[in-house]
Amino acid sequence: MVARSPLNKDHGADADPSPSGPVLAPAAGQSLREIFEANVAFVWRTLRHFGVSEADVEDVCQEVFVVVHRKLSGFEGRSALRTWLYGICFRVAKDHRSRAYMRREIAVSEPPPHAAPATQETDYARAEARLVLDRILDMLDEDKRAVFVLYEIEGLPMREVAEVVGCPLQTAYSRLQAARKIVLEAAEAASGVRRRG
Amino acid sequence: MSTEPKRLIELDSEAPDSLRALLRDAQGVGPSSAQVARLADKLGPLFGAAAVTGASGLGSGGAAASGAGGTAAASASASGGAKLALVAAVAAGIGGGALWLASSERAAPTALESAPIAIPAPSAASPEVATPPATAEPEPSTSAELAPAESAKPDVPERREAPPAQRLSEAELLERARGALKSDPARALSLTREHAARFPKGILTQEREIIAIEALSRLKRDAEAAGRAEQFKKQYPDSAHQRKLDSLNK
Repeated sequence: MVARSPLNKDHGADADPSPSGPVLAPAAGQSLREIFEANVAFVWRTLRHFGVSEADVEDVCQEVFVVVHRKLSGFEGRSALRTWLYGICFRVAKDHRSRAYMRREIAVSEPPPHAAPATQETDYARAEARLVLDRILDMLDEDKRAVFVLYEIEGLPMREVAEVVGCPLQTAYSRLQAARKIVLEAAEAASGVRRRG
Repeated sequence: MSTEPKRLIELDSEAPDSLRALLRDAQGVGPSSAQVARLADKLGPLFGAAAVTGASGLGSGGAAASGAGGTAAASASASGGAKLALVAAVAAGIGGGALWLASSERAAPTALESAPIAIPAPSAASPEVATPPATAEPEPSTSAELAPAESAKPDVPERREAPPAQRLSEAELLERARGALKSDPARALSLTREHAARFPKGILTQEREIIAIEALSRLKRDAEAAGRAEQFKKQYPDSAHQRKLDSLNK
């Protein structure tokens, strides 16, 4: 039983975002199952870094693939499937965050409730590191965060980043620079705190 | 492209080592195999009849509701599965074959096993021919209400009282509406109105509209059905339900 399934809640918005860029078709004949199996890991990872909490990511990931299912037939293949999926992640996560904000349920400082128990020192260190990164990313607004995550963690070229978030290339560069400044300062502060601690 | 700044994760970037380590670790974030398996179960109804298999421990898809695999999908999917079953059922059921997957957490295994799993038929099939028997309803508690006469199923275990519609989740409410489509389209329509009132921005808005349009069509309120279908097309131009809608209007 999933205790916090959003399916039992009223949603703040219809989670059916369309990718803003050209929608693409999957490799011809690719099924939802194949798309799921090949991409679930990065969809999950991207949603987490876009600010979906560990407690919610499974449900939101499911939501992403429901949207994929609905839109698959309209996928024209003018850009990569990956770009399309990132775009859906961006919009579903954004919608989810706004709903969560309205419910005042964003828990930016809580440890992941579903995280595996840190039985070993390395596990604990990793959990702590991810919490630190979450906190740093939480300092960014959604648009800067997405650009930063897509470029710095996902390794997308800037042209593709701009396509995913639906902004001009130059705007994406500006957001990246602004995000980097905030992240570098925050990382410096975080490492200072850890040193003192 | 060549002007792209050096990524912070790279060794000689301007990032301090601590941040670089965080970014590297972030690339390893992902679901556990158990989480992937749960998701695969929930998404099973959308995958079609084929079961999902894989080295990562993906469970069988809910659509392959045969024996233990389907039962496991039902028990694992909870309300998420109910929603996806609804999406799949709406996608498949309009104007054609009935793909009604018993993935509600309350679905009795026996009902699940007896559920007819039909490959979604193209638009030519008659909805009446494809009507699933009442016993295929994923929620036992609703079948008494929706099909009192023919739903006497001796092998279905305990049936609980149907909860009031006001207490149903979004997916459950629409499941009930869809279940009523053939036996009582007026009630189905009424339930979609209730859905609209309670979940004005719900995640299953498209499915609600499809059910409402079919209900109107079955009630011979063709002008209203056509108008609402037109509205749907404007609102969701890329919807995967469009073709179903077209077939319904034929």
